[in-house]
Amino acid sequence: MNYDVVIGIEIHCELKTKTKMFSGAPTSFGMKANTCVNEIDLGHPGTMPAVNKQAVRYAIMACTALNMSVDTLVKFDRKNYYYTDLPKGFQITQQFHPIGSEGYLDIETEAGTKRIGIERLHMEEDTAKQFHLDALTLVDYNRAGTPLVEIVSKPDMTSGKEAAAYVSKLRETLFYLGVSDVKMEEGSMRCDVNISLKPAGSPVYGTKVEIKNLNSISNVQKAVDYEIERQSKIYDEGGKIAQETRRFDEATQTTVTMRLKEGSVDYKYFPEPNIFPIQLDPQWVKGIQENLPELPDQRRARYMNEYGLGSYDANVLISNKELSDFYEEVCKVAKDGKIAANWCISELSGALSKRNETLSTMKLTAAHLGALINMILDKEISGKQAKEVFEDVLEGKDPKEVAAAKGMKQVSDTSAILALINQVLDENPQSIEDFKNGKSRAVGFLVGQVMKKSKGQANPAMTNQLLNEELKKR
Amino acid sequence: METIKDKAYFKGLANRLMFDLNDEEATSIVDEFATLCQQLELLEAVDTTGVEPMVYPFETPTVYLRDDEEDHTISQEQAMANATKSLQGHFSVPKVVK
Repeated sequence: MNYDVVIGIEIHCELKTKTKMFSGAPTSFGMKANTCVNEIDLGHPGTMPAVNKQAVRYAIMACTALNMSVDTLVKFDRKNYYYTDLPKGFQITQQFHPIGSEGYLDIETEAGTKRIGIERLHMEEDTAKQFHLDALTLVDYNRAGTPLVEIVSKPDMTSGKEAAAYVSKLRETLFYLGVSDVKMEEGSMRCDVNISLKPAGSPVYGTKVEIKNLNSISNVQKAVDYEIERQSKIYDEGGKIAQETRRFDEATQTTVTMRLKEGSVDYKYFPEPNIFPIQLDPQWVKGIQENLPELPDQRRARYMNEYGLGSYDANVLISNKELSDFYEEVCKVAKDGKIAANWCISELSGALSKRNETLSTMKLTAAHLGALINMILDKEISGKQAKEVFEDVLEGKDPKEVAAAKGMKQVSDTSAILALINQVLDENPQSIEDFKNGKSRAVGFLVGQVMKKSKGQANPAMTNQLLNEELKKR
Repeated sequence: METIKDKAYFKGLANRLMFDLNDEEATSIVDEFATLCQQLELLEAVDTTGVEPMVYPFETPTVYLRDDEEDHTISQEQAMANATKSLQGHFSVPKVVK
């Protein structure tokens, strides 16, 4: 039987603030347990939360990039539940008045661009990290109170590929905004997928299953694909889908039951009495919205228009912000953006992965790479020589100095090259004969001989052209 | 309204909140609480038919947002001071997940 797949995604993303959502204690990762906390984070009686301005700023930036409308009256609510991961006995969140609502994100699919609706974006606080040992649980409240945004999509996705494309696009957008580290493997971005199947065309939704613990984009795709197969099989066999929370199991590459959901939990939400509604200054909000950093889509379009890059090259650069930023610096010097892109994507990326380094650990400067590219464009050195010089440029050396020290220059003077060509032709009558008999390999051999005589300095393109002309004369 | 709470009640309440009340303090709270209850009885007499409940005492929103500057933390020892059980700087609690 054919089924329609319905997928919605919830993303939790830690904001990159210095301090917590409601307290002035530092946000941290990997610090000694319970050392980045104060009385507010530990829920001591009598403490009062105070909303972090930077967290609100970041939330507004995210809303704007996701084409959402921003509610300038900020309100918080209490989600009541009793568990050790939040010592107050409740989480402060925005249940009734999310700061952002009704937005969208465009993703690329095989069938073209698809618009994924975003229902809401709200601010809340993260919970403590718990370590479950054999007989007891250890709690570290360092993470408790870290600012989070939760972004809830509409159920607009229909495949593992689309789900992965959405998470990837959202991740890229938040990263370019600079509002979060978006490290899925470290948990600063977490992803829960809701998925249900229904008979094709049916208006009634099937039972929804939630998948948690998706710590990479490829696992999002794998988990969804697996889940579609699992649910189809159950329906095909006339079975029922249990309403449950599952998790992706890395070892078996399947989803497994975490817990069954029996009805929905009543969190007894009510407005947070310790935080009065906050009216944001519309001018402040406008200032944030009008000064967003360049977003990946905008940068992609600029690379294609300004530097004439193809969409493949543009995407390769965009997907690595560090490389993309470096490329822009190279382009400030290099006269040709397309050639600069080729160097960044192939030579530079190749060298980095070969050395297992990143741009930040290398001595290489963008200005030197730009200058090296110009030396090729100006025919000062050949492409082959440039690759040799590049090895030293990677170590932070000036390409002009390196080329001079190695005695490299490219001969582009017609009469000098012609003299060499005629010398080579005189020495190789057999090759001329071969050429006349249609053996094109002879040309390659002769070019090689000219290059050898010039100690690699003859301009190869010119040599090739002139040699062909001279051969025809003989 | 059933409002009479004695000293033992408040001492028990204080104990659950991890502090102690002496006799004098407990007596004073019993008296204050009785007064408070009488005042609430007065409020109950007000006719609120057709009046929307308010969440906050004032209707004007505030504008304050805290700057993202570190103010203070407490030490691990201070953080753990009220914990019945701790292990290697962590709060130790009974395990409630499988």
